[in-house]
Amino acid sequence: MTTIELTGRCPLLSSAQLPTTWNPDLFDLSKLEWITPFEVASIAAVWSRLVATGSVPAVRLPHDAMVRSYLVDIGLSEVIPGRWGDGGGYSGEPPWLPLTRLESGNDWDDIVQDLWPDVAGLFADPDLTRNTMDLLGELIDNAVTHGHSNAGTYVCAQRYTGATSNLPQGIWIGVADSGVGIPRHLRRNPKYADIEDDRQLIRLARQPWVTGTRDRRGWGLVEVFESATEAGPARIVMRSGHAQGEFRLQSGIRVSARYRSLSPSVPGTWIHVRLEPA
Amino acid sequence: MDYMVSEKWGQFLATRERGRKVREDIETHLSKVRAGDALVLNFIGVEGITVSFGDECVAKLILSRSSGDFADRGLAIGGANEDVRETLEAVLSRRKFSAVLITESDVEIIGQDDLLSATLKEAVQLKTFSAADIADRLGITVQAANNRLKQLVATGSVVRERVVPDGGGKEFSYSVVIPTYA
Repeated sequence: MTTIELTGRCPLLSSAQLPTTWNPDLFDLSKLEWITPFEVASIAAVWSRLVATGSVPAVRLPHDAMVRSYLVDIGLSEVIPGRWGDGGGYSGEPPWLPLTRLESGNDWDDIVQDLWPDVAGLFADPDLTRNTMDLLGELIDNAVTHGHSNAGTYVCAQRYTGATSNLPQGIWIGVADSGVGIPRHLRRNPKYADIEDDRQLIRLARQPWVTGTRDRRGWGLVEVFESATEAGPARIVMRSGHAQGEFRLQSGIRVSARYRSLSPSVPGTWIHVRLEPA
Repeated sequence: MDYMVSEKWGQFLATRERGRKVREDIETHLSKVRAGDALVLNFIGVEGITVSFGDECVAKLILSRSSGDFADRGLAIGGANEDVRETLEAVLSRRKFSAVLITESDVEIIGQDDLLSATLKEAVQLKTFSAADIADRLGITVQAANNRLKQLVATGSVVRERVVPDGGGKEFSYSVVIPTYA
Protein backbone atom coordinates (compact mmCIF):
# COMPACT_ATOMS: atom_id res chain seq x y z
CA MET A 1 0.00 0.00 0.00
CA THR A 2 1.36 3.42 -0.94
CA THR A 3 0.75 6.16 1.56
CA ILE A 4 1.02 9.91 1.75
CA GLU A 5 1.67 10.57 5.40
CA LEU A 6 1.78 14.18 6.52
CA THR A 7 2.97 14.55 10.09
CA GLY A 8 3.94 17.32 12.48
CA ARG A 9 3.93 21.03 11.73
CA CYS A 10 3.75 22.42 8.19
CA PRO A 11 4.98 19.16 6.62
CA LEU A 12 4.72 20.22 2.97
CA LEU A 13 5.95 23.76 3.40
CA SER A 14 8.95 22.74 5.48
CA SER A 15 9.64 20.05 2.84
CA ALA A 16 11.42 18.02 5.51
CA GLN A 17 9.44 14.91 4.66
CA LEU A 18 7.97 15.22 1.21
CA PRO A 19 5.95 12.17 0.16
CA THR A 20 7.47 9.69 -2.26
CA THR A 21 4.28 9.45 -4.27
CA TRP A 22 1.34 11.67 -5.21
CA ASN A 23 -0.83 8.67 -6.14
CA PRO A 24 -1.44 6.98 -2.79
CA ASP A 25 -3.87 4.33 -1.64
CA LEU A 26 -3.97 6.01 1.77
CA PHE A 27 -3.90 9.71 2.67
CA ASP A 28 -2.79 9.81 6.28
CA LEU A 29 -3.31 13.15 8.02
CA SER A 30 -3.64 11.62 11.48
CA LYS A 31 -0.39 12.99 12.91
CA LEU A 32 -0.75 16.55 11.64
CA GLU A 33 0.04 19.14 14.30
CA TRP A 34 -0.16 22.37 12.34
CA ILE A 35 -1.04 23.23 8.80
CA THR A 36 -0.75 26.39 6.71
CA PRO A 37 -2.79 27.65 3.73
CA PHE A 38 -0.05 26.25 1.46
CA GLU A 39 -0.68 22.74 2.77
CA VAL A 40 -4.45 23.16 2.74
CA ALA A 41 -4.51 24.28 -0.91
CA SER A 42 -1.94 21.67 -1.98
CA ILE A 43 -3.73 18.80 -0.22
CA ALA A 44 -7.04 19.91 -1.78
CA ALA A 45 -5.40 20.00 -5.22
CA VAL A 46 -3.84 16.54 -4.80
CA TRP A 47 -7.10 15.09 -3.50
CA SER A 48 -9.18 16.62 -6.29
CA ARG A 49 -6.77 15.35 -8.93
CA LEU A 50 -7.10 11.84 -7.52
CA VAL A 51 -10.90 12.14 -7.47
CA ALA A 52 -10.89 13.47 -11.05
CA THR A 53 -8.90 10.44 -12.18
CA GLY A 54 -11.13 8.02 -10.28
CA SER A 55 -8.41 6.96 -7.81
CA VAL A 56 -9.92 8.04 -4.50
CA PRO A 57 -7.62 6.94 -1.66
CA ALA A 58 -8.62 6.03 1.87
CA VAL A 59 -8.08 8.82 4.37
CA ARG A 60 -7.13 9.09 8.03
CA LEU A 61 -8.24 12.40 9.50
CA PRO A 62 -6.14 14.36 12.01
CA HIS A 63 -6.26 13.04 15.59
CA ASP A 64 -5.61 16.51 17.00
CA ALA A 65 -9.01 18.11 17.67
CA MET A 66 -7.78 21.65 17.08
CA VAL A 67 -6.19 20.76 13.73
CA ARG A 68 -9.36 18.96 12.70
CA SER A 69 -11.48 21.89 13.78
CA TYR A 70 -9.25 24.34 11.90
CA LEU A 71 -9.55 22.24 8.75
CA VAL A 72 -13.33 22.38 9.11
CA ASP A 73 -13.16 26.17 9.52
CA ILE A 74 -10.93 26.67 6.50
CA GLY A 75 -13.01 24.31 4.37
CA LEU A 76 -10.81 21.26 3.70
CA SER A 77 -13.58 19.11 5.18
CA GLU A 78 -15.73 20.14 2.21
CA VAL A 79 -13.18 18.59 -0.15
CA ILE A 80 -12.10 15.46 1.72
CA PRO A 81 -15.01 13.43 3.09
CA GLY A 82 -14.97 12.02 6.61
CA ARG A 83 -16.20 12.47 10.15
CA TRP A 84 -14.55 15.79 10.76
CA GLY A 85 -16.85 17.01 13.51
CA ASP A 86 -17.64 20.66 14.10
CA GLY A 87 -15.45 23.65 13.47
CA GLY A 88 -14.91 26.59 15.77
CA GLY A 89 -12.29 24.95 17.97
CA TYR A 90 -9.39 26.98 16.61
CA SER A 91 -8.62 29.93 18.87
CA GLY A 92 -6.81 32.08 16.32
CA GLU A 93 -8.21 34.48 13.77
CA PRO A 94 -10.45 32.73 11.24
CA PRO A 95 -9.13 32.51 7.67
CA TRP A 96 -10.01 35.63 5.69
CA LEU A 97 -10.15 33.51 2.58
CA PRO A 98 -11.42 30.00 3.28
CA LEU A 99 -10.48 27.23 0.88
CA THR A 100 -12.06 28.10 -2.45
CA ARG A 101 -12.15 26.08 -5.63
CA LEU A 102 -11.95 28.06 -8.85
CA GLU A 103 -12.63 26.95 -12.38
CA SER A 104 -11.99 30.26 -14.08
CA GLY A 105 -10.87 33.82 -13.53
CA ASN A 106 -14.51 34.87 -13.61
CA ASP A 107 -15.13 32.82 -10.46
CA TRP A 108 -12.51 34.92 -8.72
CA ASP A 109 -13.92 38.20 -10.04
CA ASP A 110 -17.30 37.23 -8.59
CA ILE A 111 -15.73 36.40 -5.23
CA VAL A 112 -13.76 39.65 -4.94
CA GLN A 113 -16.94 41.75 -5.06
CA ASP A 114 -17.43 40.80 -1.39
CA LEU A 115 -13.91 39.71 -0.47
CA TRP A 116 -12.06 42.90 -1.47
CA PRO A 117 -14.06 45.24 0.80
CA ASP A 118 -13.87 42.68 3.62
CA VAL A 119 -10.09 42.47 3.28
CA ALA A 120 -9.83 46.26 3.11
CA GLY A 121 -11.69 46.45 6.43
CA LEU A 122 -9.60 43.71 8.02
CA PHE A 123 -6.19 45.00 6.91
CA ALA A 124 -7.08 48.69 7.37
CA ASP A 125 -4.25 49.44 4.96
CA PRO A 126 -5.17 50.39 1.36
CA ASP A 127 -1.71 49.66 -0.05
CA LEU A 128 -1.51 46.25 1.59
CA THR A 129 -5.02 45.45 0.39
CA ARG A 130 -4.23 46.47 -3.18
CA ASN A 131 -0.94 44.58 -3.27
CA THR A 132 -2.53 41.47 -1.79
CA MET A 133 -5.38 41.55 -4.30
CA ASP A 134 -2.91 42.24 -7.13
CA LEU A 135 -0.77 39.23 -6.39
CA LEU A 136 -3.75 36.97 -5.72
CA GLY A 137 -5.35 38.02 -9.01
CA GLU A 138 -2.20 37.26 -10.97
CA LEU A 139 -1.53 33.93 -9.22
CA ILE A 140 -5.10 32.83 -9.83
CA ASP A 141 -4.99 33.97 -13.44
CA ASN A 142 -1.90 31.86 -13.98
CA ALA A 143 -3.41 28.86 -12.25
CA VAL A 144 -6.76 28.85 -14.03
CA THR A 145 -5.25 29.46 -17.46
CA HIS A 146 -1.78 27.89 -17.69
CA GLY A 147 -2.56 25.42 -14.90
CA HIS A 148 -6.14 24.56 -15.83
CA SER A 149 -7.31 21.01 -15.16
CA ASN A 150 -10.46 19.11 -14.21
CA ALA A 151 -9.32 19.23 -10.61
CA GLY A 152 -9.67 23.04 -10.43
CA THR A 153 -7.54 25.60 -8.64
CA TYR A 154 -7.55 25.99 -4.88
CA VAL A 155 -6.78 29.12 -2.92
CA CYS A 156 -6.97 30.06 0.73
CA ALA A 157 -5.42 32.66 3.02
CA GLN A 158 -4.97 33.33 6.69
CA ARG A 159 -3.51 36.06 8.84
CA TYR A 160 -1.37 34.91 11.76
CA THR A 161 -0.50 37.03 14.74
CA GLY A 162 1.91 34.38 15.97
CA ALA A 163 0.22 34.13 19.35
CA THR A 164 -1.46 30.76 18.76
CA SER A 165 0.48 29.44 15.81
CA ASN A 166 4.05 30.19 16.89
CA LEU A 167 4.55 31.00 13.22
CA PRO A 168 6.02 34.27 11.97
CA GLN A 169 3.20 36.80 11.89
CA GLY A 170 1.85 37.98 8.60
CA ILE A 171 -0.46 37.10 5.76
CA TRP A 172 -0.15 33.55 4.49
CA ILE A 173 -1.53 32.59 1.11
CA GLY A 174 -1.68 29.22 -0.64
CA VAL A 175 -2.59 28.67 -4.29
CA ALA A 176 -2.44 25.22 -5.89
CA ASP A 177 -3.46 23.77 -9.21
CA SER A 178 -3.09 20.36 -10.83
CA GLY A 179 -2.23 21.57 -14.32
CA VAL A 180 0.81 20.98 -16.49
CA GLY A 181 3.10 22.97 -14.23
CA ILE A 182 5.47 25.83 -14.93
CA PRO A 183 8.34 23.80 -16.48
CA ARG A 184 6.15 21.91 -18.96
CA HIS A 185 4.25 25.08 -19.80
CA LEU A 186 7.45 26.94 -20.60
CA ARG A 187 8.82 24.04 -22.64
CA ARG A 188 5.92 24.53 -25.06
CA ASN A 189 7.82 27.58 -26.21
CA PRO A 190 10.46 26.37 -28.72
CA LYS A 191 12.91 28.78 -27.10
CA TYR A 192 12.86 26.75 -23.89
CA ALA A 193 11.99 23.29 -25.25
CA ASP A 194 15.52 21.97 -24.79
CA ILE A 195 15.97 23.03 -21.18
CA GLU A 196 15.89 19.82 -19.18
CA ASP A 197 16.47 21.17 -15.69
CA ASP A 198 13.18 22.28 -14.12
CA ARG A 199 15.08 24.55 -11.73
CA GLN A 200 16.26 26.62 -14.66
CA LEU A 201 12.68 26.98 -15.91
CA ILE A 202 11.44 28.08 -12.50
CA ARG A 203 14.23 30.66 -12.55
CA LEU A 204 13.17 31.80 -16.03
CA ALA A 205 9.52 32.07 -15.00
CA ARG A 206 10.39 35.17 -12.99
CA GLN A 207 11.71 37.01 -16.01
CA PRO A 208 9.53 39.72 -17.59
CA TRP A 209 7.76 38.68 -20.81
CA VAL A 210 9.22 35.19 -20.53
CA THR A 211 6.89 33.62 -23.07
CA GLY A 212 8.02 36.18 -25.63
CA THR A 213 4.65 36.42 -27.35
CA ARG A 214 3.54 39.45 -29.37
CA ASP A 215 1.54 40.97 -26.55
CA ARG A 216 4.46 40.57 -24.14
CA ARG A 217 2.87 38.22 -21.66
CA GLY A 218 4.82 36.16 -19.26
CA TRP A 219 3.78 33.76 -16.58
CA GLY A 220 2.69 36.83 -14.70
CA LEU A 221 5.10 36.22 -11.88
CA VAL A 222 6.75 39.58 -12.32
CA GLU A 223 3.61 41.27 -11.05
CA VAL A 224 3.40 38.81 -8.17
CA PHE A 225 6.98 39.52 -7.10
CA GLU A 226 6.54 43.28 -7.41
CA SER A 227 3.34 43.30 -5.36
CA ALA A 228 4.84 40.99 -2.73
CA THR A 229 7.93 43.18 -2.47
CA GLU A 230 5.81 46.30 -1.99
CA ALA A 231 3.70 44.56 0.63
CA GLY A 232 6.65 42.80 2.25
CA PRO A 233 9.14 41.78 3.34
CA ALA A 234 7.85 38.62 1.77
CA ARG A 235 8.71 34.99 1.18
CA ILE A 236 7.50 33.04 -1.83
CA VAL A 237 7.86 29.32 -2.43
CA MET A 238 7.01 27.95 -5.86
CA ARG A 239 6.86 24.22 -6.41
CA SER A 240 6.19 22.83 -9.83
CA GLY A 241 7.38 19.82 -11.77
CA HIS A 242 10.73 18.65 -10.46
CA ALA A 243 11.76 21.95 -8.93
CA GLN A 244 11.22 24.42 -6.16
CA GLY A 245 12.14 28.08 -6.05
CA GLU A 246 12.26 29.91 -2.76
CA PHE A 247 12.50 33.68 -2.75
CA ARG A 248 12.94 36.31 -0.10
CA LEU A 249 11.83 39.76 -1.13
CA GLN A 250 12.40 43.08 0.49
CA SER A 251 12.12 46.54 -0.97
CA GLY A 252 15.52 47.98 -1.87
CA ILE A 253 17.31 44.67 -1.41
CA ARG A 254 18.23 42.22 -4.15
CA VAL A 255 15.97 39.16 -4.30
CA SER A 256 17.39 36.17 -2.51
CA ALA A 257 16.62 33.05 -4.56
CA ARG A 258 17.31 29.38 -3.93
CA TYR A 259 16.42 26.51 -6.21
CA ARG A 260 16.30 22.80 -5.56
CA SER A 261 15.24 19.67 -7.35
CA LEU A 262 12.23 17.68 -6.21
CA SER A 263 11.31 14.05 -6.58
CA PRO A 264 8.66 12.92 -7.23
CA SER A 265 7.46 15.65 -9.56
CA VAL A 266 4.82 17.95 -8.09
CA PRO A 267 1.55 17.35 -9.98
CA GLY A 268 0.79 20.97 -10.88
CA THR A 269 1.95 24.23 -9.37
CA TRP A 270 1.82 25.05 -5.67
CA ILE A 271 2.60 28.51 -4.41
CA HIS A 272 3.11 29.82 -0.92
CA VAL A 273 3.24 33.53 -0.22
CA ARG A 274 3.94 35.05 3.16
CA LEU A 275 3.71 38.79 3.52
CA GLU A 276 5.19 40.35 6.60
CA PRO A 277 4.09 43.98 6.38
CA ALA A 278 5.77 46.30 8.84
CA MET B 1 -20.66 58.20 -25.14
CA ASP B 2 -19.84 56.80 -21.71
CA TYR B 3 -19.06 53.14 -21.06
CA MET B 4 -20.07 52.56 -17.44
CA VAL B 5 -17.64 49.90 -16.26
CA SER B 6 -19.12 49.20 -12.81
CA GLU B 7 -22.71 48.85 -14.01
CA LYS B 8 -21.80 45.90 -16.15
CA TRP B 9 -18.82 44.37 -14.41
CA GLY B 10 -18.93 45.25 -10.71
CA GLN B 11 -17.02 47.38 -8.23
CA PHE B 12 -13.87 45.25 -8.08
CA LEU B 13 -12.06 43.91 -11.12
CA ALA B 14 -9.34 41.40 -10.52
CA THR B 15 -8.33 39.00 -13.25
CA ARG B 16 -6.92 39.06 -16.78
CA GLU B 17 -9.86 36.93 -17.88
CA ARG B 18 -12.28 39.64 -16.77
CA GLY B 19 -10.00 42.28 -18.26
CA ARG B 20 -10.09 40.54 -21.62
CA LYS B 21 -13.89 40.30 -21.56
CA VAL B 22 -14.29 43.95 -20.64
CA ARG B 23 -11.81 44.96 -23.36
CA GLU B 24 -13.67 42.94 -25.98
CA ASP B 25 -16.94 44.55 -24.89
CA ILE B 26 -15.36 48.02 -25.04
CA GLU B 27 -14.07 47.26 -28.55
CA THR B 28 -17.61 46.32 -29.58
CA HIS B 29 -18.84 49.66 -28.23
CA LEU B 30 -15.93 51.50 -29.87
CA SER B 31 -16.87 50.00 -33.21
CA LYS B 32 -20.29 51.66 -32.88
CA VAL B 33 -18.84 55.10 -32.07
CA ARG B 34 -18.94 57.40 -35.07
CA ALA B 35 -15.62 58.48 -36.54
CA GLY B 36 -14.60 61.73 -34.86
CA ASP B 37 -16.48 60.93 -31.63
CA ALA B 38 -15.10 59.42 -28.46
CA LEU B 39 -15.90 56.72 -25.93
CA VAL B 40 -15.24 57.50 -22.26
CA LEU B 41 -14.39 54.52 -20.06
CA ASN B 42 -16.21 55.71 -16.99
CA PHE B 43 -14.87 54.10 -13.82
CA ILE B 44 -17.34 55.78 -11.46
CA GLY B 45 -18.40 53.15 -8.95
CA VAL B 46 -15.31 51.01 -9.51
CA GLU B 47 -13.61 50.76 -6.13
CA GLY B 48 -10.56 48.77 -7.11
CA ILE B 49 -8.77 47.10 -10.00
CA THR B 50 -5.70 44.90 -10.01
CA VAL B 51 -2.61 45.33 -12.14
CA SER B 52 -3.64 42.18 -14.06
CA PHE B 53 -7.04 43.61 -14.95
CA GLY B 54 -5.65 47.04 -15.83
CA ASP B 55 -3.00 45.55 -18.06
CA GLU B 56 -5.31 43.18 -19.89
CA CYS B 57 -8.10 45.71 -20.32
CA VAL B 58 -6.77 49.25 -20.62
CA ALA B 59 -3.11 48.74 -21.58
CA LYS B 60 -4.00 46.27 -24.32
CA LEU B 61 -6.69 48.61 -25.59
CA ILE B 62 -4.02 51.28 -25.95
CA LEU B 63 -1.71 48.68 -27.54
CA SER B 64 -4.27 47.95 -30.26
CA ARG B 65 -4.82 51.68 -30.81
CA SER B 66 -1.11 52.19 -31.28
CA SER B 67 -1.33 49.55 -34.03
CA GLY B 68 -3.96 51.69 -35.75
CA ASP B 69 -7.20 50.09 -34.52
CA PHE B 70 -10.02 52.64 -34.07
CA ALA B 71 -7.60 55.50 -34.76
CA ASP B 72 -10.45 57.59 -36.21
CA ARG B 73 -12.37 57.71 -32.92
CA GLY B 74 -11.40 58.80 -29.47
CA LEU B 75 -10.98 57.11 -26.12
CA ALA B 76 -10.61 58.60 -22.65
CA ILE B 77 -10.80 57.45 -19.06
CA GLY B 78 -13.08 59.15 -16.57
CA GLY B 79 -14.42 58.74 -13.06
CA ALA B 80 -11.34 56.94 -11.74
CA ASN B 81 -10.73 57.12 -7.98
CA GLU B 82 -7.18 57.44 -6.61
CA ASP B 83 -6.65 53.68 -6.39
CA VAL B 84 -7.84 52.99 -9.92
CA ARG B 85 -5.83 55.88 -11.27
CA GLU B 86 -2.66 54.73 -9.50
CA THR B 87 -3.00 51.20 -10.84
CA LEU B 88 -3.61 52.44 -14.39
CA GLU B 89 -0.57 54.72 -14.10
CA ALA B 90 1.52 51.71 -13.13
CA VAL B 91 0.36 49.38 -15.90
CA LEU B 92 0.62 52.03 -18.61
CA SER B 93 4.06 53.20 -17.49
CA ARG B 94 5.35 49.63 -17.48
CA ARG B 95 4.42 49.21 -21.12
CA LYS B 96 5.52 52.77 -21.94
CA PHE B 97 1.96 53.66 -22.95
CA SER B 98 -0.16 56.70 -22.18
CA ALA B 99 -3.87 57.36 -21.81
CA VAL B 100 -6.00 60.40 -21.25
CA LEU B 101 -7.77 60.87 -17.94
CA ILE B 102 -10.64 63.32 -17.59
CA THR B 103 -10.93 64.69 -14.07
CA GLU B 104 -13.54 67.07 -12.68
CA SER B 105 -11.53 70.12 -13.62
CA ASP B 106 -8.94 69.05 -16.14
CA VAL B 107 -7.72 66.56 -18.66
CA GLU B 108 -4.36 64.91 -18.18
CA ILE B 109 -2.01 62.25 -19.40
CA ILE B 110 -1.45 59.16 -17.26
CA GLY B 111 1.26 56.58 -17.84
CA GLN B 112 4.36 57.49 -19.79
CA ASP B 113 4.23 61.24 -20.27
CA ASP B 114 7.23 62.12 -22.44
CA LEU B 115 6.12 65.71 -23.02
CA LEU B 116 2.65 64.57 -24.07
CA SER B 117 0.94 66.72 -21.45
CA ALA B 118 2.33 69.91 -22.99
CA THR B 119 1.33 68.71 -26.45
CA LEU B 120 -2.16 67.83 -25.27
CA LYS B 121 -2.59 71.28 -23.69
CA GLU B 122 -1.77 72.96 -27.00
CA ALA B 123 -4.02 70.53 -28.87
CA VAL B 124 -6.93 71.33 -26.56
CA GLN B 125 -6.41 75.05 -27.28
CA LEU B 126 -6.27 74.51 -31.04
CA LYS B 127 -9.01 71.84 -31.27
CA THR B 128 -8.31 71.20 -34.99
CA PHE B 129 -4.77 71.56 -36.23
CA SER B 130 -1.84 70.21 -38.22
CA ALA B 131 1.52 68.95 -37.04
CA ALA B 132 3.02 72.24 -38.21
CA ASP B 133 0.63 74.17 -35.91
CA ILE B 134 1.76 72.15 -32.90
CA ALA B 135 5.41 72.47 -33.93
CA ASP B 136 4.96 76.21 -34.11
CA ARG B 137 3.25 76.48 -30.70
CA LEU B 138 5.84 74.29 -28.96
CA GLY B 139 8.92 75.53 -30.83
CA ILE B 140 9.84 72.04 -32.05
CA THR B 141 10.38 70.51 -35.46
CA VAL B 142 7.44 69.18 -37.46
CA GLN B 143 8.98 65.71 -37.24
CA ALA B 144 9.05 65.91 -33.44
CA ALA B 145 5.45 67.16 -33.45
CA ASN B 146 4.47 64.25 -35.68
CA ASN B 147 6.02 61.79 -33.24
CA ARG B 148 4.15 63.27 -30.31
CA LEU B 149 0.88 63.40 -32.22
CA LYS B 150 1.21 59.75 -33.15
CA GLN B 151 1.31 58.98 -29.43
CA LEU B 152 -1.63 61.27 -28.73
CA VAL B 153 -3.67 59.44 -31.36
CA ALA B 154 -2.85 56.17 -29.57
CA THR B 155 -4.15 57.62 -26.29
CA GLY B 156 -7.45 58.38 -28.00
CA SER B 157 -7.43 62.09 -27.17
CA VAL B 158 -7.10 63.19 -30.80
CA VAL B 159 -8.01 61.61 -34.11
CA ARG B 160 -6.47 62.28 -37.44
CA GLU B 161 -7.66 62.29 -41.01
CA ARG B 162 -5.76 62.60 -44.22
CA VAL B 163 -6.38 65.87 -46.06
CA VAL B 164 -5.12 67.45 -49.25
CA PRO B 165 -3.78 70.92 -48.49
CA ASP B 166 -4.30 73.86 -50.86
CA GLY B 167 -0.85 73.52 -52.33
CA GLY B 168 -1.40 69.82 -53.07
CA GLY B 169 0.28 66.79 -51.52
CA LYS B 170 -0.95 64.95 -48.43
CA GLU B 171 -0.97 65.70 -44.73
CA PHE B 172 -2.92 64.86 -41.63
CA SER B 173 -5.42 67.08 -39.90
CA TYR B 174 -5.83 66.40 -36.19
CA SER B 175 -8.89 67.04 -34.01
CA VAL B 176 -9.35 66.82 -30.26
CA VAL B 177 -12.20 64.41 -29.49
CA ILE B 178 -12.22 64.38 -25.69
CA PRO B 179 -15.75 65.26 -24.58
CA THR B 180 -16.10 68.86 -23.27
CA TYR B 181 -12.70 69.68 -24.78
CA ALA B 182 -13.53 68.92 -28.42
